[in-house]
Amino acid sequence: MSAPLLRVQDLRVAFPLRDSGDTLKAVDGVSFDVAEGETLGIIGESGSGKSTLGRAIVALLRPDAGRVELAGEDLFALPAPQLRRRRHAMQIIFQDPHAALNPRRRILDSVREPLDIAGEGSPAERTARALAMLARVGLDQAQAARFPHELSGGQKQRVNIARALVRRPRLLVADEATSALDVSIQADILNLYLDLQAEFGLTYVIITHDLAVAMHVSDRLAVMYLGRFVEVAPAATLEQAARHPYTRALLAAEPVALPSRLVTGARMPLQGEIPSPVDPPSGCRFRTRCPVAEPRCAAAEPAWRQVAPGHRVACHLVEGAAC
Amino acid sequence: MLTRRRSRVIRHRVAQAVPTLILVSLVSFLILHIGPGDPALLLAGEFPTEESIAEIRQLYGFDRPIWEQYLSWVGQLLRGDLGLSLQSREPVMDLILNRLPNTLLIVCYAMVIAFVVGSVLGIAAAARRGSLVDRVATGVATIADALPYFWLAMLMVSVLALDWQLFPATGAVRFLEDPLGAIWTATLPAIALSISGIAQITRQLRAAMIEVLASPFVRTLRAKGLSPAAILWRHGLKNVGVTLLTVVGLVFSGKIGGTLLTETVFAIPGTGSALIQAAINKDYFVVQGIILMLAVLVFLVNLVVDLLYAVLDPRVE
Amino acid sequence: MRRLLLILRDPGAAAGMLWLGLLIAAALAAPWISPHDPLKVDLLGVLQPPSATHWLGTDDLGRDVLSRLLHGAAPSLFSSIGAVALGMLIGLPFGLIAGYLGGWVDAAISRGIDALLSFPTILLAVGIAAVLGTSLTNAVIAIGIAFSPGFARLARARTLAVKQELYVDAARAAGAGAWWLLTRHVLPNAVTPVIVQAGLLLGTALLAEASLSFLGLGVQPPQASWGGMLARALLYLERAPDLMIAPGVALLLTALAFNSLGETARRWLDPR
Repeated sequence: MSAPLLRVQDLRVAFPLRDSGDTLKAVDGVSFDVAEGETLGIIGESGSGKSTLGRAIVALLRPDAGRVELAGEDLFALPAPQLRRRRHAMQIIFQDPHAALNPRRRILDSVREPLDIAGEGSPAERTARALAMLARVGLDQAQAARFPHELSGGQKQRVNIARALVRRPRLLVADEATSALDVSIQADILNLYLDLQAEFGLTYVIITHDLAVAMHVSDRLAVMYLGRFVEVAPAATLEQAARHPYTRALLAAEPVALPSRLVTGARMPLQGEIPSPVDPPSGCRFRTRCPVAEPRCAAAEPAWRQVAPGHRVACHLVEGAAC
Repeated sequence: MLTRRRSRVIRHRVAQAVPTLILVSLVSFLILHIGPGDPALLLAGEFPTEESIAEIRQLYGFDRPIWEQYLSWVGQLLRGDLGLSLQSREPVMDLILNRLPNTLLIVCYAMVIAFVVGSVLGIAAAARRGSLVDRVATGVATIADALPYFWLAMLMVSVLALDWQLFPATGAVRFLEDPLGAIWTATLPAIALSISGIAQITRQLRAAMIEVLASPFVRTLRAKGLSPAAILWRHGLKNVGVTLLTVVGLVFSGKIGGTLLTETVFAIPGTGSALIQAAINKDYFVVQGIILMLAVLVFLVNLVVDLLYAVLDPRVE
Repeated sequence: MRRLLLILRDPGAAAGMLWLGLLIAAALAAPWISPHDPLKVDLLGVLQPPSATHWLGTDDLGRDVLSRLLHGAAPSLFSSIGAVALGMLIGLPFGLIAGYLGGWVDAAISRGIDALLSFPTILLAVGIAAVLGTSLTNAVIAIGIAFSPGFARLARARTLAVKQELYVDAARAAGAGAWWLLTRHVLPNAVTPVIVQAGLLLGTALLAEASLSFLGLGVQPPQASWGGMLARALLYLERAPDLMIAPGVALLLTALAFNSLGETARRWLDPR
């Protein structure tokens, strides 16, 4: 197997809380690889730390510990000017398509901006490239001359995609990139993602709370809970043979998008709220909401176990080879 | 009882106060040094000679490094020594303490007028929004904002004191010697001084009350048939208190600044008129001392307001 | 543009604009339209009431009040604009830097702002004017410096808010450096309330300059200024109370006009 495009190792991000001096551990030891051309879906509830993880992957946030390597290069070991010059290779699409566009700049100027910053080509060439990319995502020249508030949500998300792709990145992180949109438009945008991936050979990290979206577009899925991954598996495997109680609860809670045979199975609805990441539970972090928790779950953190090729679970109750 | 969060806010404010206070003293100190060139030259008067400049430089330590000058100045300051007036050779601290009561009397008097008149206008305007009362209150605030109050002071002296002889035109009476006479004499200056404060308070209170009246909670009460006036009386008072508290610091600062002009027009022997005289006569230690003392006064009032705010404001939680 | 026209239908705003337009014209044309030399002393005709030759009468030295009023317009108008512009020019960069960089730079600048805001505006202006020396230019510098911490505080607060915006992150992800982010994203989106504040301060600046000239720390006699004319009027309050009318009314109307202009600018730029 060739070296992965993205390698994340034991990443940790904590935010100091202003008044109390405590820290909020948003991402607390996450490791994974993503191969070139692959799509990794990261699923989690709000508060799981998945957005923070996404920002750290594209180096918008400096982690407190751990590494993010893109094509073998440790991003956070780079001096600031070098890191800025590498940024075009990894791009991110945010959840709110409107807030991600400067309200005082025309669409064309926003899409041209990455080229302007890099100073690539003549101004006329940059305009032509920006317009071509806008055309590729389905926006014409008249729309390019407008301001963000004159476009619809779906159109604005297309603008964000065009801006992210205009300098041909290798990795694209989509952070809830369709959840602010109408359901009818979501499908269009998702299909656009898939087309663009094929066309530009992109590697995707899709961050979402929406299982159906994640299953639809991902090759592999990672389930995140309270700053950590709890299960990683190929999408098809996860759908049929999820092992972690949290993953199973998520699947059971999913109303329509899943085959009926899963829904009729033992339902394990999630109870209560996600605990505070300021003071996470000891041992297995899911134990406070887990229907099958045992005393040992509070005592020790579960180790990762391999239950099938490419299928890893962190749960005391799951048998498998240590890994 | 103070919660953990409130006491943390209070500690934070007090901790910030120390460096700010040091900077206030530094600004006052540096004012003498921002002028073009040598402070010794500034102090040497109209016809400086080489010797007199050198003598002054030595006398006031201008030949030493500036931070050393600052530290020794602070050292003297902490012992209550602000230097001597270049004109009268009187200690600056004595001069200030002599005159401060006259200044504080008109400032406090003006604060009372501003808060009473401003509260009445602001609340009445909010309770009957769009009515004649509201238009009058808004008009008063608009004009008060644009009124040069030293001009208003002159108008009042001319009409009320000189033509009609209702009030004394100038001067001040010592409060401790004749409290009623002091208040009577201070009435015209205090009215002139209160004008911009009336505008600020009317405007702030009107806006705050309109916000309260538009809140869902109050809308429910109105739906139950309570009149706006009754709602304001029962539920708006706490908001009035908090709103007034937020403007106390601002209004106080404005009144202290206003004393420079008011005291000049009414020939009141206070710190404001003394500062102007000293500024014109280039009596720099008096300028420096008065600016420092008035700024510290404003700073302390603001600090107390901040602390009260931390204790009273429900939003701190 | 249409919104601006709508606002001008407000009679207060329209009257303010009209007054300022006339005043600027009068200030610029003062040397040609003044009926008399504003400095010409006529000791035989002091403190005259209004007449056909002296429409607004004469002052204590027999100088024509109308001519002095017209010549006093320019220093009043241009010093207010200059002082506000200077305050913004000093305050805005400090606020931007403090808000954008955060950390100890922010803490240091914020304490400095707090300290300067402890000085009432006019107090600071008098202190600075006294040390710089009495002249109109120094009065403008003094008032500008005294205004700057207010601008800095506002710019800092706006910068803190804009810095959080997603489009700033998007530009950062596109490889933008600090200068690019500040000039193309933060400043354009943070500056509007600062400009609004500048408009609202014009009237305050006018009165501050008049105050300094009134106190003898601004425009120096015999040059004409409205504040200076009021200072003369104070000396003759008993003998010639009418002397205070013309400059006082001119100040009041101009301050009202500035305030309504500032309010118009606020409604136009910052509709809420």
